[in-house]
Amino acid sequence: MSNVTDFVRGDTRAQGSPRNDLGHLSDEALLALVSRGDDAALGQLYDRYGRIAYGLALRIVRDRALAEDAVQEGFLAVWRSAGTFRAEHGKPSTWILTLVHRRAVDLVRREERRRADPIDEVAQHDPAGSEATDEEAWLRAQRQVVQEALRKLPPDQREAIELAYYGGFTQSELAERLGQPLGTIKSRMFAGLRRLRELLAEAGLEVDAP
Amino acid sequence: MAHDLAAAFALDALDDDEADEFEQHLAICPDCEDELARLRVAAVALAFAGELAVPPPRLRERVLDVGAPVIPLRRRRRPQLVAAVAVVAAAVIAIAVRPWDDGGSLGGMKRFTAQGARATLLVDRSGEAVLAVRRLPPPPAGKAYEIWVIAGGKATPAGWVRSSFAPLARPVPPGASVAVSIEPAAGSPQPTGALVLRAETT
Repeated sequence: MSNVTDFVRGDTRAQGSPRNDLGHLSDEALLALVSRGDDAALGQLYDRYGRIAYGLALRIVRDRALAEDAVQEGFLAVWRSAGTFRAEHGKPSTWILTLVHRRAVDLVRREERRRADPIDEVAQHDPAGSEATDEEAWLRAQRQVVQEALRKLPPDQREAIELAYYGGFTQSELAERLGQPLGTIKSRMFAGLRRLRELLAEAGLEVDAP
Repeated sequence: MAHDLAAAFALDALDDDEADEFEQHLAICPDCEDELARLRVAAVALAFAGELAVPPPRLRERVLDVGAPVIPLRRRRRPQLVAAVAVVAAAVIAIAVRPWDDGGSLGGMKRFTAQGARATLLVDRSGEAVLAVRRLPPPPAGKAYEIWVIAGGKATPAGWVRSSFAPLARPVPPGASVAVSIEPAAGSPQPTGALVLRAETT
């Protein structure tokens, strides 16, 4: 029979302290645990994608408090709807970041906070002196690949998808803003995303085709 | 024609009405569903194009905290309940003097002293319960201590006493009693062995 100390220690773990064993699980396995109400698994997913999610939200809403709200609401959506995730439609990371992105766009539309030119405003504020972990190196490499692919897009396509994704503009707002017919904006976004996907695949970035 | 909304949807560039329209269309158009999945891969790659930002440490706590209002009761309550029992029991064991009053209230939980072995049953408002057992000898070989919730003359299995604190696998309705008996280690559908303790909640 275990004693009080053992039991309290075991209980602390159940309440969501970091569990090293979760680190070996796939994102899919973690989502399955989250769908069964495992908050430690949610924490592990946050540890994997929280930084990307926060950086993305910050870029869209341009306000730290709002960015935190977007990430929190996005992960709340993950928590609530993990049971509806379908692996055949993409990776968990895609799904999670899609949920966070949607919250950030909702917030920025509500706040009427729009960046005039998201392309020029890419802040060069790498956290100075941050340790070059494997994860960090991987993220930097990935960022370079995506940035290079973006540079290879036709400028009008790049403009349309960047203003939409980072600026939170709707297609109708973009048509007005860019002085183009709605159909043109739709075509640019579609062609731009398609081309971007090809470029990423060519660059060897893991692309999960369903 | 909603087909041409897939890219804008992947970029979250639709207004609410357009997004609704496309979502309805998605439900009946597997082609668009596949197309959307492909376009999303490219859209989400944009998330990785930005500079790395460091979220404040409190954000992790906030993210984990958002679970609180929606975590199913069974999952959330029990650890807290068990923790409370552990703390209380530890204090009681340490002091080892004051007997607990039956039916007293403790942090919203009612506590009941068992007859037979020394044990205390704590039940919260929703019926979630924990049995704190003291100095129970190890069960005979091949046997185990099985917990029963007895209500309306019917005993239902409610888990096992394997440590000093045993959360019950089912709620305890008002007026029910909780008993522990010695059963085969594989469990019994009904109590068959010697009764070790019994706690009435009336």
